[in-house]
Amino acid sequence: MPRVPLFLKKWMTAPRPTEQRPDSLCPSVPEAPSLSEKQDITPKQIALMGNPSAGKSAMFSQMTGVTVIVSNIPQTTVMVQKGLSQINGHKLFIYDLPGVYSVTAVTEDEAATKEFLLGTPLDAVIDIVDATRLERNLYLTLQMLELGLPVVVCLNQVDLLKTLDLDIDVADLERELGATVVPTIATQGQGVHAALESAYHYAERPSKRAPRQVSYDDHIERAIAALIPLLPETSVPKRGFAARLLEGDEAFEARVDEHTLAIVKEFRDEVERAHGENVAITIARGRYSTAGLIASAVLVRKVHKLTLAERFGDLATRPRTGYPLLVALIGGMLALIFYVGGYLSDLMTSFFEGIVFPPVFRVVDAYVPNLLVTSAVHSTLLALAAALAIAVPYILVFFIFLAILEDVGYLPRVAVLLDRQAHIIGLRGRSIIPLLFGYGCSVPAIMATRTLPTKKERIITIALITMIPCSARTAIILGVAATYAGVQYAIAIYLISLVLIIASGRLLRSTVPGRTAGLVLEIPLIRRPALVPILKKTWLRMKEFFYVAVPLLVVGSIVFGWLEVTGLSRLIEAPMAPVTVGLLGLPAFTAICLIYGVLRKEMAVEMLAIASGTFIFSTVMTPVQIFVFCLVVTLYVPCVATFAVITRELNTRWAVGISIFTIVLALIAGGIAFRVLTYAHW
Amino acid sequence: MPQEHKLSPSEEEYLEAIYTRQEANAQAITTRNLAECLGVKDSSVSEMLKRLSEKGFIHYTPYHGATLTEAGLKIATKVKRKHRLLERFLVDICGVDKHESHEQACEMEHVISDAAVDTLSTQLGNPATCPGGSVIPEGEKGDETVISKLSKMGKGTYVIRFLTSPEPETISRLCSLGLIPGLPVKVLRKIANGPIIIEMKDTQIALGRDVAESLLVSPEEKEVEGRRRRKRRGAPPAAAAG
Repeated sequence: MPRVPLFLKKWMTAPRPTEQRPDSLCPSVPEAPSLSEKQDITPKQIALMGNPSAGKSAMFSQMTGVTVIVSNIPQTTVMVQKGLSQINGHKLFIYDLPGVYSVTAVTEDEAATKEFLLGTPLDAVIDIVDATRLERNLYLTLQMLELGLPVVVCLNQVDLLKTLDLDIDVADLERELGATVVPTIATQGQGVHAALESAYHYAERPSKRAPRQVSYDDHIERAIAALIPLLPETSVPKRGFAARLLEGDEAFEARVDEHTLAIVKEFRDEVERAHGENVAITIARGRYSTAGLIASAVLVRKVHKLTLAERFGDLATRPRTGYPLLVALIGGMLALIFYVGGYLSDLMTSFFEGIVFPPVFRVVDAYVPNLLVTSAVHSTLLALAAALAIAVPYILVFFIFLAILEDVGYLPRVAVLLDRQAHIIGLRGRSIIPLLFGYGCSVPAIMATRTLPTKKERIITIALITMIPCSARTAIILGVAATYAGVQYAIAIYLISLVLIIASGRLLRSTVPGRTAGLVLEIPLIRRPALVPILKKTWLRMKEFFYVAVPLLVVGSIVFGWLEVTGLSRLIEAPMAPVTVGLLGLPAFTAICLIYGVLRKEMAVEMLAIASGTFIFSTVMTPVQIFVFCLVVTLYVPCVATFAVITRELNTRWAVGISIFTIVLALIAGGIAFRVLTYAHW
Repeated sequence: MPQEHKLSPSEEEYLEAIYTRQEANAQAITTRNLAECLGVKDSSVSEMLKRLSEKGFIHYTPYHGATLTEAGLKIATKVKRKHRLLERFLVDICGVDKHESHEQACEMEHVISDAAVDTLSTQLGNPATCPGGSVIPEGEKGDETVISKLSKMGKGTYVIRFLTSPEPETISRLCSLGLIPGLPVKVLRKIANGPIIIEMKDTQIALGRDVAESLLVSPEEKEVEGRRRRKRRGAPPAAAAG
């Protein structure tokens, strides 16, 4: 047996040289893996693999200390993450791979996992197995063993077994699988050290135990036996290689000659004739029945009574209770953001306006002669105040709420509940999750569309995400429109955006070419949210705001102040006046706010505070103007970061197209709203 | 034994016509009706009815009419089933016009084998009615292998029989989740016009309505027996009339 299985394409066709690793490496792994003589210096490479929602990211965070987004939602991780860990003084590289149900890729995130797995020399693979869904998870474990991967199994979430009245005999499971099994609770860090240690040991001294073989039906077994002598020497055991060839895995088909392929096809036809079904299904059945045998040997079931959490999960998907629950949660969330965020916002405002501003401004105005410097100081303080008083309170409360919903496992249930409605806009329930993420931030939401099975669904979902009021826009709607114009205006903005999203979805459904695939979605268990992970996740999401948004705002604010002082701002306001003043009926100084809003949405309103010189917007704008301004900011053009991520995920053409579409939509909606409300008032 | 006889196509046509009549109003069919129905002379009808009566497929009383015996009902049901399934096939799959489909099915029903028509029914997802809306009788072995779409099933446990989705992504996703033929699944919830939530291997999975339609299932063993018992107690409607 090769000490370290390698999956490089080059190696698949050539006999494996002894004691040497190939020079060319997978592009996703820039660090050269250790040559055997340098083993102590170069860190071992360990990948975390497993089913969606098994807890890979939680484990990754615990092992590396790198905080990544962990949620109780299948397929939260969409790309390979890398981190550094240590065990007894030895460095280890840890890779967190997107979750997969099998080594057959359907969506882009799954393709990323397969590509990484087959293209990277790994010293050990930690297979995170969800203990509560043992049999289904073992299906992947068996495939990994079949591929000759150096597998160490983590039996994760063992704490939940008790609530489900299940029990697993770890020693038996170890014996059945022929692999090391470590029971863990990744969210609490239990067993993480032991898992790392086992993986490191495996990397140092691979296990001599023979891994569990899948027992296939007679036809498949005969075919495998006949194919084995024809296969090239690779790190993949020939039995597994033959099985993958039979099921039509393109990555393996590419590594054998035409002659072998022809024989494979003959066997495939023979098996299909005998079974009357696709050979991939016959093979899957073999793996599943082996997984079933193992599970029944190690799993003890006791009489189970539904827990409170299961009952809640049940209510969330039952239409009669699910819809009211959803409406109540959204309403409750908005109210919470409005009141708690508003309270924090008031505190901040009075702190800055009452305590900080007066003495500082008095001193600066009195003693600093240079107008540009005075302006810069004013602007910096205003920017800090705007960020902390307008944006942060609302965004913070929103992110905490979102984190709780994610960790509980509620969002996939919403996806199921709204599958029917999603059909109206040409989507399936699966898209609901990225769309809901869109209420947090468009960028990760757009990344999350990688889990969607077809291109058409991705395009429609991405386009609609840009129109969903993200947390920054929620801060604007609740912090400005609801506070200074009236709650009814805030509700109107939400309803208008919802109507426009549905209308755009219908339009896109009939214009975007391609097709959609039906909903197949695993529903995770309902879990009790824990405080620390929620705060960690919230901080991770807020961090970007403090490190990127605040400095940007300070610089933007200083520039703005200078434009004002030097009178250059007129040069920008004047050409935009036909749109801002003429079409939308806004004050001229909003032009620059709208431009800043392209950088970051919440900057539009922060700059509004800076431009108007007050946080009490009702003193400088009428309720209608505030409403129109917020409506336009909500709808118009994705922010720079969103534009960039659309360019990356789709292409520039789509990014530009979506931008133009939303600008036109925002101007039309704003123009109509201004006119209708003005007439209604007189 | 009457069943041993190999019937001619025209004999089968007669039995079928009597069946249709019985199905419609549960009354004996007269010679006149049959002659109109099949477009033949009264005299040839009487002659054929006598022959069928002798073979034990019908009860025939001159001037009163004919009804099917149990053996006749069995054959007529089988032929009717073939006819209506073939119509379904011709209209749904081949895109044949409804009227033409009837004529073509009339020819085909006498030559297609029982096994072939059972497979056809499975592949069509065991439709309940023909394009005209009439009920398709269940097959003889139907009780053991009642296969229908998962979307049509109520709460309960079923065994997956076929994956028929036209979307490769869906088939692939179902397989990797372990939803393969032979697996028992439990229907937990059906959302009206929406997804179905099933449980398999301790996992809850939501399947869109279209996916559930592409999954053909049969009731688990226990359920089949229950159904059979129920069936035996109540006599089939057409036989009661005869």
